This record gives sequence, C-alpha cells and structure tokens, in this order.
Amino acid sequence: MTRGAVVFLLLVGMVMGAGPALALDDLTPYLEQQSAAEFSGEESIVCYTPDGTVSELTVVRQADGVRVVEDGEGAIGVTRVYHGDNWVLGDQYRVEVSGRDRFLSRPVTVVDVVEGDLVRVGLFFDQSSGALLASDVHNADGSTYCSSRFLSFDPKRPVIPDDLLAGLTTGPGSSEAGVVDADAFPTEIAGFSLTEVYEGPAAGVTNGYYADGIFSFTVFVSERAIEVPELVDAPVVKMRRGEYQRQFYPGQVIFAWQTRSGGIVLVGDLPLDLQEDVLEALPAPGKPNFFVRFWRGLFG
Amino acid sequence: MTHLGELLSAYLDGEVTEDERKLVTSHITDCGTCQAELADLHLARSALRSLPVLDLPAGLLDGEASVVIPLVRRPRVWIAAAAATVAVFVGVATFVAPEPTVPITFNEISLEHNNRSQLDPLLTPGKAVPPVSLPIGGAE
Amino acid sequence: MPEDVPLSWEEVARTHGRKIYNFAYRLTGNPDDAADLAQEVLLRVRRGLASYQPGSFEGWLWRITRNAFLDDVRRKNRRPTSALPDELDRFAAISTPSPDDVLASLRLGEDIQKALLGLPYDFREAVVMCDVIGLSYDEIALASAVPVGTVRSRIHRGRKMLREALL
Repeated sequence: MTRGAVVFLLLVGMVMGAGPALALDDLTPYLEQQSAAEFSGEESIVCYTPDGTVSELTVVRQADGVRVVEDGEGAIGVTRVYHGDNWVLGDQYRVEVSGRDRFLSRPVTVVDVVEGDLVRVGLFFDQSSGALLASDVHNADGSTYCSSRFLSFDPKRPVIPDDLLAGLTTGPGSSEAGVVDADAFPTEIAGFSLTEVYEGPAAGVTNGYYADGIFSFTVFVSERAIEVPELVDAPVVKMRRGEYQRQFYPGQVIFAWQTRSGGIVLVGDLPLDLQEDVLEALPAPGKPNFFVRFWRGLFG
Repeated sequence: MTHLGELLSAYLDGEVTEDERKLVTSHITDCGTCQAELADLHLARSALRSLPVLDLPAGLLDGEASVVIPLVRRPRVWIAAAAATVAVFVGVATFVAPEPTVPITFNEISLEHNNRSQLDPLLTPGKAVPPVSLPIGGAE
Repeated sequence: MPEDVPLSWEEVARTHGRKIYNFAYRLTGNPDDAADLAQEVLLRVRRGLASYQPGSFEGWLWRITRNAFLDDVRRKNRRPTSALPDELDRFAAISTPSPDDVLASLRLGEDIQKALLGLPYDFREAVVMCDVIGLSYDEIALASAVPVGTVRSRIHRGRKMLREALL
C-alpha cells in the first residue's frame, strides 16, 4: 500500500470516526494521539555534542492542543501542538514498531524511525494517553545525539491559565508580514524540503524553513554579515569548507558564518552528521570581496 | 599625446606584456584623461563582476542539478596591483565601505524557527522546548 | 593532455553546467532560453567529447557554447531577446523587498543586465566571457574564432559602452 493510500484511508477513517490505528508502520496515528494527549510532567533533555554535554529540565503541560513549557528560570514557551496536516515524512525514513516496553511504570509502544541500517530516532509513546514519554536521536555512527525523558508524568488534564494562552503564537512564523519569493531559496537542501520562506526577523534578512518530517532547520540569509550578540563568545569550529561559529543548546544547534556575499545563520535540531551535510550544501564561509565592498561604497 | 585606449582594459585584466604594463603605469601618473577612463573601465568591470551567480535550474542535469559549484574566477595576482593603481590614481579607496552587519538576537532566531517547527508534529528534543522567553504578562 | 581536461561528460556537466547557464542567461536575459541553451550545449559536449583534441578545453567548450547560442538565435530567427526576467538571484543574495539598500543593489543588478542586453552581440559576448565567466583573452579568442587583438578591442569597447549605459 502506498503512503498516499495509507494517509487517504487514515483521513477517511478519521472523518468516519473510526479509530486511527489503521497502519502501525505509519507515524501518523501516533502523532495524532500525541497531539491530542493531555498531561503534565517534568522532562529532561540531554544532548551530547563535540563541545560537551548540554541539558535542560523543564516542566511541561499540555491540553487542548496547546503545550506550555517552563524552564527553571521562568522562561515560558507556549506552542500549539501540531496534528499532522501537510506533514510529509522524507523518503529516506521508514517507520517500524519495534515493540512494547515499560517506561515510568507505564506501558509504552516503541516506534523507531529507521534510515538504512540506522535507527535515527527512537520514540516511546504512552499507550494510554498517547504522550511521547521519551525519545532518542542518533548520529549516523549510531551514537546518541539527544535524549529526552519524562522524569515524572501525570496523565491528568492540566490547568493552563488564560494569561498563558494570550502568549500563544498564532501561526507559523512571527514575521507573517513578509512572505517573500520562495524561488530565492533552493527547494531542497541535503534531503530537506523547503516549506516556507519569510522575511525577517530583521530588515534585510530572509529565512527559509526546511524539514524532512523528522528534523528541521531554518536558514537566515542576509546580504550583510549577520551578528548574533549571544554568539559573540561562541566557539569557532573549523570544518571542511571553513570556519563557523557554533553553539549547542539542548536539542538545538546554531551556526553562524559570513559568506562572500553576506551572512548566514542556521538553527535546527539536526544530529551531528546532518549538520555537516546541510552546511556542505550551503554557501561556504568566506570574506566579501573587494568589489562587493567597492560597489556598496559607491552606491550604498 | 596618444592615449592608452584599449591597453587600459587589458591592463585591468592583466592581459598586457611587461613593457605594456610599464607604459601604462608611467603614462597614467600624469594623464588625467587616462586616469578618468581607467576609473570608468574599472567601474564597468566591477559592475559585471558584481552580477549574482545564478544557480542551475533544478533538474537540468538529471539529478546533478543540486551540486553547488561556485563560479570560480581564476586568481590573477595582478588584479590586486591593478586595483591598487586605480585606487591611488583616482582615489577609489575612499569609496570602499566598511562591512555593515545586521544584528539578530538569539531569541528572534529561536522564535522564528520554533514557530515554524510547530508544523512538525514530532516533538523530538528541541521542539519540545522553545528556548525563548515570551513576553507574557505576569508570567515572570 | 592538458590537466584541465575533464574526463567525462558528467564531470563537464557538473563543473561547467552552471557557468554555461550563467553565460546563456547573461546573453539572453531570459531564464527559460538560458536553460534550453545550457541543455543543448551539454548535449553537444556529450556528442563532441569523443572527438575532442587535447588543447584548450575552455576554448573548445566555449566555442561550442557560443555556436549553440548563435544557432539558436538563427533558428528562432530573431535577435537575442532583451526581455528582463523576474529577478532570480543566487541563494546568498536573497531578494528582500523592504530594505532600501537591498532594493538598491537589486535594481543595480537589473540595470547592469539591461545595459548588457543593449550591447551589440560581439561586445556583449566578449565582456560576459571575460567578466562573468572569467576566461582569459586567449580562451575568448579561441571560443570566438577571432584574433586576441580583436578580443582586447571588444572588451574595451564593451566596457566603455556599458559604463555609458550605466550613467
């Protein structure tokens, strides 16, 4: 059965009110259940990076398709949990239900996203609530890049105060003002598909969002060098094509570099090998040449 | 007085003999006409070289189209010398702009990406935690 | 054999396809025509590689490119188009509509392309080969089948015309 047929039957099933557990080798039903789940808990995220281990402990509440995440320092993120429209899993991945297990004394279904011989991502879904209780992301060599684990889990519907909902970002992208010509970005970078292009967040900056169904990244491009104040002290890492500023955060990495014709910043949740692949496919680090500066000097 | 004419373009391109090069450098020191012409030629040449390099349309090479190859112009050591000469004689150096930058904060970057990655239903690490402080009343 | 001779068609396509496309685009100002031309050139290269005699590979390649372009112009029985395309900038030079300076530089690129299309063919070809593709005068002479002195003259006059058009 083709993926299209699976999705179609799933959609039909949903419309008819049938259960979503139609195809166990498809991620969609798990994603549907996960987005509908209501729970609260403490979640830890640990990532193992070339620059050391980065980790974070957060308190998570999810209800009515809204997810509230608080870190220990009072920062709060409110996001809408997405439920799968237009979502496409990259051809390189296949989904395997590898078994059942217990996690936090709860029965979980273990779902692997496999790429070739590599288990790229392992997912542990709570059987009763549908929540994603744990996940592991692996590098190409099989080593672990990031792990998330709920340390405590309460499958009761949490209360999410109205004032938090007021902070809910309404849709994809804060810079909705400027959806710009997507032709300017390659439609595909290292197996990731371009899904959206926006202007912002600063004047003269355009950003494109790329996803492969499992990982995603956003590329910010400007004709000027991009300066990220928080990255001033970030390590400079030498890779095959030149030097990049790189900073790891729990579950996220940022690269910034200057090219011959401007500046690029990349942010995403890519494992280490995919970071390299994507950087290889983007313009290389370099200094703007004399003529560019000469021209700007004359004409601004 | 005979002016240099097309020798000036060839000089900018390094396509002159050693004798021609000496002729240009000695002539130009006291010929305002040729100085002005050299500046004009330099500008036209720079304009052409400032044109963006276009990517091959997708699919043109049957699957090889995504290969990114910079349009490399062969290095020519004399370009620097020629440019320096132009700069000296017509004061081009005063036009060379410092490289301006665009500041973006980490929060802006993260917010932009995380808002987008909400579209991705798989809450792998990183998507679960938008590392951003949203300006929420009373939340601090 | 000179060391710059690629071994296979795939390699030529990979290393030169983009240059050929840029050459065609700058001469026609039209992305569709440029894509057609690049494809035609690569086809001719595939056919011609077997009989390629070691020498200046660049000169050989650009002669094919130039002939393909001129054949195309003749076949379509029209002058090289001067239509300006929607701006298709390279990835690193994204067109963002609002900031004045970005707009200015974009308009500048359009102005340059427009001025280029206003040049007579021989001069346009010479300056594009020299300043966009980066060929040497010798290579341009081989490609265009004219003496080097003619190349020098065409580049010089082409730049002067361009400078005037850009005033």
